[in-house]
Parts: sequence; structure tokens; C-alpha cells
Amino acid sequence: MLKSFFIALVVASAVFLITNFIGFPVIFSWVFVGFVFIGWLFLLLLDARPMAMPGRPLLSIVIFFLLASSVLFLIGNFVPQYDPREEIAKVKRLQSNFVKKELAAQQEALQAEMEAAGMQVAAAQPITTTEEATAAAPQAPSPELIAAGETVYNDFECYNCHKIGGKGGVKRRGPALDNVGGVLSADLVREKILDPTVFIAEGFEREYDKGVMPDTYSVQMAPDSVDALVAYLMSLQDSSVETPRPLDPDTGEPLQVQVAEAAPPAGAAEEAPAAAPEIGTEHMPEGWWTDPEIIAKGKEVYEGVANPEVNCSACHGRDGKPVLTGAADFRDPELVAGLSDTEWFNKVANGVPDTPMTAWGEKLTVEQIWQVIAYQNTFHTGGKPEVHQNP
Amino acid sequence: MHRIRRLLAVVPLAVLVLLISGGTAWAAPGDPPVTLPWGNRQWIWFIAQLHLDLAAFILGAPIFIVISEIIGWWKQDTRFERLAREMTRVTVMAYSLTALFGGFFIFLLIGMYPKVTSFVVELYFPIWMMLYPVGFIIETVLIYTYNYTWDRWQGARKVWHIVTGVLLNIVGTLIMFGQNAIASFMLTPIQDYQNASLWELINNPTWWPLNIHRFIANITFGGFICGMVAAIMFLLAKRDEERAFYDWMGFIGNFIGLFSFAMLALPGYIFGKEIYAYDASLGIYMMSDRLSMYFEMQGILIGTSYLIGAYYIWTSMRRITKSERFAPFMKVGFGLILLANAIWITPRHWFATMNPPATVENPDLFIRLRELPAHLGFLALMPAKNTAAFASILVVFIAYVFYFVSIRRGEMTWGKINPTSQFALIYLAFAAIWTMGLMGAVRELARKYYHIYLVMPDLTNEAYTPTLGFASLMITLITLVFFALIGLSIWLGLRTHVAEPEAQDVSIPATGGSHA
Repeated sequence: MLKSFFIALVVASAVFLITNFIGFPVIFSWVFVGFVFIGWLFLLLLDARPMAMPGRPLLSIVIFFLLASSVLFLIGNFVPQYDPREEIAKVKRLQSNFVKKELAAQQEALQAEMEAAGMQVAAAQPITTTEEATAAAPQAPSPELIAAGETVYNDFECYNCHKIGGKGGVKRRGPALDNVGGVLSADLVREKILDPTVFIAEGFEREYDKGVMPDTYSVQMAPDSVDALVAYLMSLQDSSVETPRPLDPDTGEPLQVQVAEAAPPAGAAEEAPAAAPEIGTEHMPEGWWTDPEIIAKGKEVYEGVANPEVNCSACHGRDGKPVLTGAADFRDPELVAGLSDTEWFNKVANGVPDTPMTAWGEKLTVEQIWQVIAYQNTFHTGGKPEVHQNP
Repeated sequence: MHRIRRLLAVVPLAVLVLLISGGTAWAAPGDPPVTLPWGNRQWIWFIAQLHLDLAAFILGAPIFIVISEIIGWWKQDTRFERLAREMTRVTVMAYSLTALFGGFFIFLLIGMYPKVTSFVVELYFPIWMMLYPVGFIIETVLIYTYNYTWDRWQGARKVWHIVTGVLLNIVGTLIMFGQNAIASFMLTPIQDYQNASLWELINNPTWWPLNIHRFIANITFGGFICGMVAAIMFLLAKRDEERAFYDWMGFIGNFIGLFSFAMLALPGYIFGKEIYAYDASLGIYMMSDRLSMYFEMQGILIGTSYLIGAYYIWTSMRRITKSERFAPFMKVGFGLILLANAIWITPRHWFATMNPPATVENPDLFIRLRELPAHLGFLALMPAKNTAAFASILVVFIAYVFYFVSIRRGEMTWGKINPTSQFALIYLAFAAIWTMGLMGAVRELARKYYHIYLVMPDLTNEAYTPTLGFASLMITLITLVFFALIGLSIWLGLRTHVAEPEAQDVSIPATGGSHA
């Protein structure tokens, strides 16, 4: 027995050295060494003399069961575990995401029913938390939104198929996303998440044909989770890592993509806040009434593009002509000019008591409110930007 | 004793009556009306798995019981007749217990998870509320007819007895297929389930893979349990004739178990492949993320099962004269199985998640110390695992070839075997039931935080995936209780029958080389 033990020891040492030499991390080498000793014990069992019939067979059987149970239980606890608290926190977030999605769907259905019945529809109560909603603007996603997006990325296990920073995606299933913000527009990223068939990632034609990318995120993700994820992905602009171009699924030709300007990385807003002009809630910032870019952004807010939870046109009409009885008619110059910019800001931010006009201050940034007011100011002039007549 | 057996015989019908009355009362949807101490999930897990284990046994055992009976009748070999008879007695006892735990399971389901239960009932009413109870009644009638007519339907009537047994298997399999439809739907529901026909609901992407996998697994399980029953009876036997019979019975059970076990790998692989095809994120969650260490455990269990199965053949050969010449080859075979095991359980990385835990300060170092480098990554992929599985199967196959060659040329005495072989048989049954519990947990947990994947989320506090350590505790407890119940069935079914005349009538000659 001693001799065989020494042989096993020599073999185990050789296995340890060889496996280390060819590149196995040491933990793997130890497992292989364990196998050598299990083999040694097994050989001893093979050559052992037959055992006598147990004197107390029932007791032997019970002891054997308990022994086998203990060994399996210990192995189950010995292999690596994860922290269940992390898992619980993750599931809580996913549950919250689902509840929000369900409530939004129910609200939408109810609203449609009421509209179909010709009833006055109260402005929808958006279902998002304050922190999540304050940074829904796609042009300048806040660090909080980007961080929230990273959490969504992890919670929905996008890392299973994609790599970021070299991590994730054991098997080649999906492209690295390090520069996704540099090659795709936010809209295209959003479309791809919700409908994987919208384009082919160049070099992943086979995976596209096999439908590797799950088409279930439109069912699983609440709108604000999608917003956050898009913001996070658009913040990834590391051009040193190749991220494939999008191809048209029908022609196989590259899609023409209007790439967004480089979004500031997470935290950049905090690092350089002084550079931005200070925007208060009292007056429209200088030059914004007639600034085409500001008016264009205001249009996006007004029509629910910037934040799907805020859609002024649902009640006030896309052209300022109200579609809901009692809603303000922005084509009326007297009405628009009858209130100062401060008063308009208050109406948008705080709502109008006892009317369907909801307080949007929690859903929109100060900049977005001014943008939408600037856009709203163009309806009574036939689309021509003018300085407000009651500054 | 007979009174206890009769009492157990009426249990399935009593459970049905209770189900119909109790089920109606609790079927209304709403918040869970009860929260049990120790957690609702633990309760449902424990009872459901226990029910499944027992159900697997009462479905698997009759398959080879009937085959044994047919062989015995065809060859006029009383050993097969006795094997079938004794296993039927154990099965009938286990049948009653299956019904009891099935009833308990449905009560808990209705009481603790009324919404999901109502939802499933609404979709699958003809299957769950019609086919299941009606099939259950028919199966109850058939199994008791099969058991209690054994002595009466001999001679010219034997064929009717066999037909009853075949019908019993058909009905049992249909019931299982019906329930598989619900279990597989919960993991891979069809997208437009609201507008789907019943057949479309049944024939969801993983229904057939689950059917085939469970059908073969039940035979494996029945074979190993037969081996364990024989082993226990062997160890408890007082007479050489008894030992000779139970030694032979253990050999047959193990042979059937290992043979079907070898066939199980392919359907299991297809099942996994279908899950990947349905939604790759489910497959990755199982194989590379939170459930990856569960598959480590599966590798350990299956690997040791092959090893111990081969060890049983080794001990069986040691009693055959002139079999020594195969010993060195057998030892090489054991080495191969160990090597295959080592490859099988080599993971991509030794941590239980896809990425390092968030709390790790230096993820790069963490990965470097625990993950296979790129040039060795192939060891973690399926081709390597399949090769390892095939190697283990091949070694066991060759071991049996050695055995049958030895027995043609040498002499052996049934009943004269190293008693460690009987503990090997017990381990195989133990590992089989532990593996069933483990893979049952994997199938349920793969749905992540959904009751029905993407259709109905689990919004309870227990929706998270537990660690393997916790699951091991659950599975071990379930396994121990299961074996306690099987022990009770053996005691009621066999130990109280030893004095009956047929037990002696069908005893076998202690010496000989014939197996079938």
C-alpha cells in the first residue's frame, strides 16, 4: 500500500507539473491531482480482499445511505457558489421592471378603451421612478442613466453573447460592443434590442440566420429599461475595438447610419458642469426661442420621441390642434402670448390642477421643458420660429 | 399487514375525491392565501420532487417488469417471473405513495400558487383535469388487477396478464406525456399561446425531447431501483437460495439500468439543444452562468455512476473462474473512466457565474486564476464532454463483453459475491435519484424568475436561483425521504411475503452461467 501510495504521489506530482506547464490555472491542476488520488484509492478497492457479510445489514445500509448523502451534500457545498444576495437584488430589479411594464401596458389598454368609448382621457400617469426618469433625454444621457443601463445589461445577461472590455461571451454568438455607440445610432440600437431581425451585424450572418439573438426583449424589458440600456450602449465608443457594421438583411449592403455625436462618458457631466450654460426655471435661455436645433429637440419631446412616456401631441395634437376636449390650442396666438415664459414653464413642470394636464417636471429635464416650450411657440406662427411676445 | 396493504390500495381513489372537492374550493385566483414556514418554494420543491421520484419509479419499473414477465413466460424461466412478481409488489406499494404525494402536491400548488395554477388549468383543462384523473383511475384499476391476478392468471390466461401489464405501461406513459406537456410549456411556451390549439400547446418545442428523455430515464431508474431492492434483500437474506436469487436479480437490474443509462446521454443532449434553440439565454444560464455548478455536480454523479457500475461488473467477474486474464484490461478501463470524468467535470471557469462577482476587486486576476486559457478552452465545450461520455460508455460496454466471454468459459456461483458489490448497487440507485433531483431543479430554475417563461413572472421573494449548496441540502433530504419510503415499500411488499409458497417455488439453482 505504501509503495502504491508513493507511485500515486509521483504520478500526481507529474500531473501537477505537466498541467501547469501547458497552461492550466493551478486550481485545475489541483483537481487533476485529486483525480489521481481517487484513482489510487479505487485501485486499492479493486485489489482489496472481499469483505465479510455485514453482521447488521440494516444498520450497514442506513449508514451507507447517510454516508453517501453526506458526501454528495459536501461536494455540493464545496464547489464554487455565488452570493445569493446578489441574485436576490437582481431578481428584485427584474421583477420591478416587469411590474412597470405590465402597468404601462394596462394603462395603455385602458386609455385606448376610453378613447374608443369617446371618453375624455386623462393624461397618462407615467410609471417610472424619479431617478430613472429624470435622465431620459437621449442627447445627453446622465451618468445615472448610463449606470442604470449597465445594470440592465447585466441583469438581462447580454454578456452571455457579447463582450465589453474583453469580458463575456464564452462562445462566439454576438459581436463585441465596445464601439457600438460609434457605429450605430441610438434608434438603431433600440430597434435591434426590440427586434433582432432589423439588421445583420457584419460577420455574424450565420448567427443572424440561426436567430441566435433572443427576440424576447420587447416582452421582457420595460420602456425605461430599454432607454437606459440604449444610453449605456451609446456611451460605448472605444474605437480601438472593432464593432461590426450593420447590414441590410435583404440586400446585405451596409446600412447608412447617422452616427450620433460622441456622447460624454459616464461621469463626464459631473467633471465638467461649469462648461454648460446655466439654465434656470425663470426664463427661456438666450436665443432658444428661435434656435432651430432647440426647436428640433423640442419637437422630439413634444412627440414622445425623446421620452416615450411624455407625449404632448397625444392631447394637444401633432400640429398644435387639440385632440382632447379642453386641451390648450397652441395655434391660438392670444393663448400662447397670454402667458409669460415663466408661466408656461410652471404649467409644463407642475401641471394644471383639476385638469388632465399632468406635472411633467419629474419626467423632463429643465432643458427639455424649455425646448418643448420653444417648439410649442411655433404652432401659432405657421412653423416660423419667433421670439415669444410675452417674455 | 394485509390490512395495511388494502388501506394503501384505496388511497389513490381517495386522493382523487379530495382533489376534486378541495381543488374546486381553492381554484379562485388571488394572492397566495398561505405562506408556510420554511418558505413556500421549499415546500413545493420537496413535495413535487418526491412525487416525481416516486412517479418515475412506478412508471419505469413496470416497463421491465412486463419485459421480465414475457421473458420468463417465453423461456419458462421462473427467475424472471419471480423478479417481475417481487418488483410488482414493491411498485404497488410505491404507487399508493405516489398518489398521496401527487395529491399533496396539487393541494399545495392550489393553496400557495393559485394564479399560476388557475392559468395552467385554463390552458390545459382537458389534459390536467380530464386525462390526468381519468388516466389515473384506469391505471389504478390496471395496476391492482395486474398485481392481484398474478397467481390466478397463469397458464392459458397468462397472456391476459401480460396484456394487462402492457396496457398499464401504455396508460402510464400517456399520463406522463400529458404532464410533460405542462412542464415543458412552462419552460418553452409557444409565443401565441392565447390563440393556440390544445395540440399546439402540448407540442411545444421541448415536449418530445422531455418525453423521450424521461421515458428512457424511467427505465434507467427502474433498473437501478430493482438493483437496489435486490441488494437490500441480498444483504438481509438468511438463506443461500435467497442470496442466489437476489444476486441474479441485482445483476439484471443493473444491466438494464446501465444499458438504458448509456442511451440517456443522447436525448439529454437533444433536450439541451432544443432549449438553446428556443432561447439561447436559457441554455447559457444553465451551462455557463448561475446553474453551471449544478452541471459540475451532474458530471460528478454520472462519472461516479459509470465508475461504480464498472466496479460492480468487476466484482461480478471476480467470482467467475478463468476471468483473471481480463483484470489488467479492466484496470486500464477504470483509468479511462477516471480520465473521462476529469474531462467531463473540467469547467470553463471555477466560479459559479458567467462573469466574476461584482465584489471582486481585480476581475482580471480573478479570471486568470480560475478560467481555462483560450488554447485549452475546447475542454469546456460539448465535443470534449461528448467524447468523455462516449469513452465511459464504451468502457462499460467492453467490461460487459469481458463478463460474458468469461461466463462462457468459466464457472460461477450465484450468491457468492463480494458484498461491496451490493453497496455499489445501492449507490447507483442513490446517485440516480440524486441526479433526478438535481436535474429536476435545473429544469425548474432555468426559467429564472418566471413561473412560465416570458409569460408569467414569479413575483414572490423566492424567485431567485438558490446556490448549489442549498439545492444540495434540499435534494439530499428528498433523496433520503424517498429511500425511506421505498424501504417501507420493500418491507410491506417483500419482507412480509417471504413465508409465502411461491417465494420458495421459484428459487433458482445456485450454480450456473445462464442469464437470460
